[in-house]
Amino acid sequence: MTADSSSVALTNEQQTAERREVFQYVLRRFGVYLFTLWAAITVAFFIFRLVPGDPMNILLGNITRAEGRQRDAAEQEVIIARYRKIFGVDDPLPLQYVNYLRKAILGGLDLGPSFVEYPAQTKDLVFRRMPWTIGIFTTSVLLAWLVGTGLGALIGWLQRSRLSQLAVVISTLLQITPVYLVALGLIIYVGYTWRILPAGGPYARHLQPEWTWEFISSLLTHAILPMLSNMIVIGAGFTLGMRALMISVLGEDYLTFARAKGLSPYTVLKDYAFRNALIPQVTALAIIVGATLNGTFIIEVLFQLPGLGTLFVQAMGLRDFNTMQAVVLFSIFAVLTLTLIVDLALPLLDPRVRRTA
Amino acid sequence: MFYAKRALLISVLAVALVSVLSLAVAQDEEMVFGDLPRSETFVVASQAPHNDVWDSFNYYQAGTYNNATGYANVVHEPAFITANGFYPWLAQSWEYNEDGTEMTLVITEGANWNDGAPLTMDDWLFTLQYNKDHADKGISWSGFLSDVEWRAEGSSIIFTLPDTNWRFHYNFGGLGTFSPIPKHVWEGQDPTTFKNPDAVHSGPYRLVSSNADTRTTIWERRDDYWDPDRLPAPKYQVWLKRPEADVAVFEWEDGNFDLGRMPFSVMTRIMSSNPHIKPLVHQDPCPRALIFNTLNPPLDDKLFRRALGLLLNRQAVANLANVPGYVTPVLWPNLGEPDERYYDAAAAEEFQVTTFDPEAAVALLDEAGYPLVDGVRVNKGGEPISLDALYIDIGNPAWTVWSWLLAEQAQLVGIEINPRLLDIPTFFTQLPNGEFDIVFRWFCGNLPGDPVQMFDGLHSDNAVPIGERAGGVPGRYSNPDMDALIEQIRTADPASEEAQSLFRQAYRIWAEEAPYVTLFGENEGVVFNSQYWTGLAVGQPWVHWTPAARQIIDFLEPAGDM
Amino acid sequence: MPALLEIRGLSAGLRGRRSVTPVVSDVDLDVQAGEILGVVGESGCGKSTLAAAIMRLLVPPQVLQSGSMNFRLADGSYDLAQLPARELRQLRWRQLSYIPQGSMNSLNPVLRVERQMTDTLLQHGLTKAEAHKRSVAALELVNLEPKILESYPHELSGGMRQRVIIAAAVSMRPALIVADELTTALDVVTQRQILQELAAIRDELGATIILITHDMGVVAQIADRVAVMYAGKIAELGTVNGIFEAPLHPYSQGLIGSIPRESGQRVEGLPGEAPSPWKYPGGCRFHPRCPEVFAPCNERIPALLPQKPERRVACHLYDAEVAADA
Repeated sequence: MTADSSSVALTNEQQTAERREVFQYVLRRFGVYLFTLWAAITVAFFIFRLVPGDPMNILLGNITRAEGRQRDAAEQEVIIARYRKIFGVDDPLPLQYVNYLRKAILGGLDLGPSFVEYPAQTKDLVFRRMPWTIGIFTTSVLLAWLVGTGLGALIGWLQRSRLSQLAVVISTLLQITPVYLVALGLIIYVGYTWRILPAGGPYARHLQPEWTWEFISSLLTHAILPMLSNMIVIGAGFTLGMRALMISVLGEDYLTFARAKGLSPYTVLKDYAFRNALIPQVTALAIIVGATLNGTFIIEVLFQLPGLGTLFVQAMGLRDFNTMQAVVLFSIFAVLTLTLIVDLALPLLDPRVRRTA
Repeated sequence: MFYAKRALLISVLAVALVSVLSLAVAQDEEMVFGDLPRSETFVVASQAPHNDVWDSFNYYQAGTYNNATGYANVVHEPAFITANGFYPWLAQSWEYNEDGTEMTLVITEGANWNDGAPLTMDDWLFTLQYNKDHADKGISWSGFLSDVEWRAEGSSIIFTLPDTNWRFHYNFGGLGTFSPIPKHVWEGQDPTTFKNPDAVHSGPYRLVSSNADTRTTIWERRDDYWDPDRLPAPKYQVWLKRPEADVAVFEWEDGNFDLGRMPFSVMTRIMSSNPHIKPLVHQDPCPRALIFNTLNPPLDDKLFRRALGLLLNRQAVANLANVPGYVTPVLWPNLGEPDERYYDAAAAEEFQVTTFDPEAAVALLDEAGYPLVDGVRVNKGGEPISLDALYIDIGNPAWTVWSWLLAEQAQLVGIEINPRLLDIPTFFTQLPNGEFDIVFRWFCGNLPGDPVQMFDGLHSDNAVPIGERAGGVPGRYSNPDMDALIEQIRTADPASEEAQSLFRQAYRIWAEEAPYVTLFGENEGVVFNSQYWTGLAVGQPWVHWTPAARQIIDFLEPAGDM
Repeated sequence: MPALLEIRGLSAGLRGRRSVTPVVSDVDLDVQAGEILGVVGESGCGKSTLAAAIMRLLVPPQVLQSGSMNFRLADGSYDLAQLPARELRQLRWRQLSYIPQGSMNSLNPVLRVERQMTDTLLQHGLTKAEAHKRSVAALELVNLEPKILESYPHELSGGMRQRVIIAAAVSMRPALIVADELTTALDVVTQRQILQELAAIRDELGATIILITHDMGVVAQIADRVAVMYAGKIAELGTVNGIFEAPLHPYSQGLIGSIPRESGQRVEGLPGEAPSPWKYPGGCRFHPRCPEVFAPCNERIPALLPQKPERRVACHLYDAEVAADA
């Protein structure tokens, strides 16, 4: 753009060029997305197979335990050969890899059977467990983000008040506390010592999923503590992050100007400070989702939630490649998709990205 | 004024709350799991394996089966229960003809399935054929039926065996064992995929619900059980996968579980906070042993192996690991007091089986030609001896202690032993492939199961090259004399004096050659809550992760007034 | 005729752990209605703090220490130094506008121009349609097309952004506009255009403008009167013509001597550097750099005394009493 004011009007030609630019940006981001997904799947495929330990041995161990006797080598071979074939691990590694990709892509996400819940299909298993992880994890991260962003904005805005400085100390302490300790603390005190809320399981053990008030209320009360564990730690991080962003925005010239304009403090906070600090905070959300997935796994195990985390721990113990891969695949898929959405949505929040992209 | 009002309000609320709570407490019966009376419910908190199948009750899939549902323990019943003896259950007795080529099995009449249908000879015959037909699928209890013919006669099944076999009846006993299945449920189903969703079998309970989300299975006792004398006391049984030990502690302290496994490390704490909690210490049916890789020098030398066997102080392991109870010396390849018929006490004495004697070990090493050079024992090539000892990480302190004790003792006599801790999958990969020098593991000799298993694993069939999977004892042991004995034992009637003599000879070879050395029979603790149920005591065959649970739940009695 | 803004004894500084460091000390200044008053000085002389103090935009650790700022309007007189925040907000933009220093970054990058121009108008009670009309009219004053309302700040050039800010500042037809370093980041041509536009606005709206700048050239172009600041105090005050023709204060003389002439070459500048607020010297704060320093300069603080008609100077050279003592 030139200094000449008449050039503000975009010609049709320019608009077309801009639209093409946006299209190319979306296309490029999507390409990167697909490539990352592929790379992650590939790494997961080979890494899990490089971990020492053969799932067949665990299988045989279970048989020995259940039957109370060692089968002779010939009998073992029969069993192993059979299961190797079922699990697609009897081919050479490169062929396994090709078959895996082929089935996953062309076979409608056929990721093979699982050991963990043999003979259930890994795909079904993941789809069945995913709502728990999404329900507990995503909701708590989003809530933590909302609360943390609001709180962070507030204590950033009131940075000099004593209460806000206290909030910073508390947030810092909470943020460095391992999620395991927070969860265990909640279980011990809220769940057992004071008996305020149930501290284990997805819902009361005698219930079956159905649309009754009893089930839904049980589901909700059981969700509070695991979600709280996640929220406390992640929320503290978001609070501190948002506070820092807020303070840096408060030093910007446009904020002084906004105040000089005689806008009410609320408008200044909302339209000038908060809105601008929010942009990097949205990006932080996508990053946090990836970084805190492992914390959620711990929470799921401690709270006995049938989510992807517990599934992964079980699959790891059995060296259940198919299931491990599927969990990783879906986690990566979720994180990448979220990042993609954020990347594509960022121009809506930040007009500057539209140009620089 | 304002504060006074608020205080008043709070006290009114508090009074209301207390009255509601006391009403709830005043209810004469405590309910659990919805509407089950606590005093009629037996809760088993199982430390299940990683397999997490909660909607399938199919014991053919032993490898991928989840025994935390309780199905195998309280519903699925065997022909004979074989913990501490052979107890008739769905079958009454067996008998061989004079040359051991025919066996007659008498089945129990009047049994029924928990869906109400009678358990008939038809079901038995269907099951035998079903197992034989699906033998190629690697399912449980199918291999032993190949080349075997059978026919029904009244309430007996007469098996025609291809060769003399005095041990055929063991296929109907053992921890996990042959069991008839209901024809009307299984007909036309594939044993590797069928889920038996209603958990139909002959036990005294029927399935109420099983939930993969909460990992809980609820069973209700049935009134039409075929043997009223063996009707267990609990009206309900709830089998669930217990939480992580850190969390499960609180459940135990609150008395929410009745029976289950917990690490020893937290048991004391639970017992101190809940006086009803008692440990049921018993001996694990599988004693511990050190297996030597007989292909790796100097472990190919029986004298060297025996010397190592003399270096481990079995009692010290128990003392250091703080395991409750005691450590039993294991004098033969089995648990418990040796059965004189199969045992050679003189050989045990001569070769110092299960003895801690470092001086004798030094003498053996010197005699065998492993001299001490500059404080280090050298092998026949003059190089210092260094061995890896593998053990498995399952959080058992005794299993860690032994390796360090062995390493310490070995160092005192000049041998370097490096203990290496492996995770479960890695351990179970290196072990059958023979990728070890010394390995610590358990072995199940399996009496009163088939005694042939005492030595069968030492047959040279198992001495495959390192890197290939070995069955039996994975130490690559090979000895033609032992092979000959094992082959004779396999066809002999274990009850005959002739067979017993063969066993004694094999024992002598085992004691002298020490392909593996026994360590100790380890105690295992299960936590039992006597607040609602009594009757379980040390000494009962109570191993609840096996079908023996079917036997032990009959011992349960209500605790009565509390 | 009473001044539109009457500043008396204004002091502002930076609050430290133990004490307040003075940045602006005891400033007296009258701003007459309809004039353009240039406040000029080297960077760090306190002129921006003075602007912020007038606008009540000091943020911690900046503090207003003392003084009064009487702002006389048709409906009454307000002391800007004491005015409660609420009333101050009412006054801002309607009567008191601000064109900030570094105004290249004074527009919120994520809001469209229209939103940023109209949000204030809406808060001051205008309807949406009125606000839009006002904005368009204000843009016209600075020769911008209404289309620009649809743009984001980053889509505009520096000059256009500056114009938008000016337009926003004048959209409510305020009585007083404080413009802080209006043209700093702009090229010479744009500078000239904008200054002309500002002068035109003054003529058209009858606004009063305080123009804060370090550039004597800018002052020379459009100001009516000029206040020369040095180290937080006013050194000399007078009409532009008067001061440019005959600067009295040695500092003014130095400043005027350093204006680039037509040929572009610099005549000699002032020796030395302006002191930072932590190191203000005693006595006359200019004395360490003053070519005509004499005995009382490092002891006594010179008062801002009238010398000629429409001229005040704070220098002992012109103080007969001091000269007599010396």
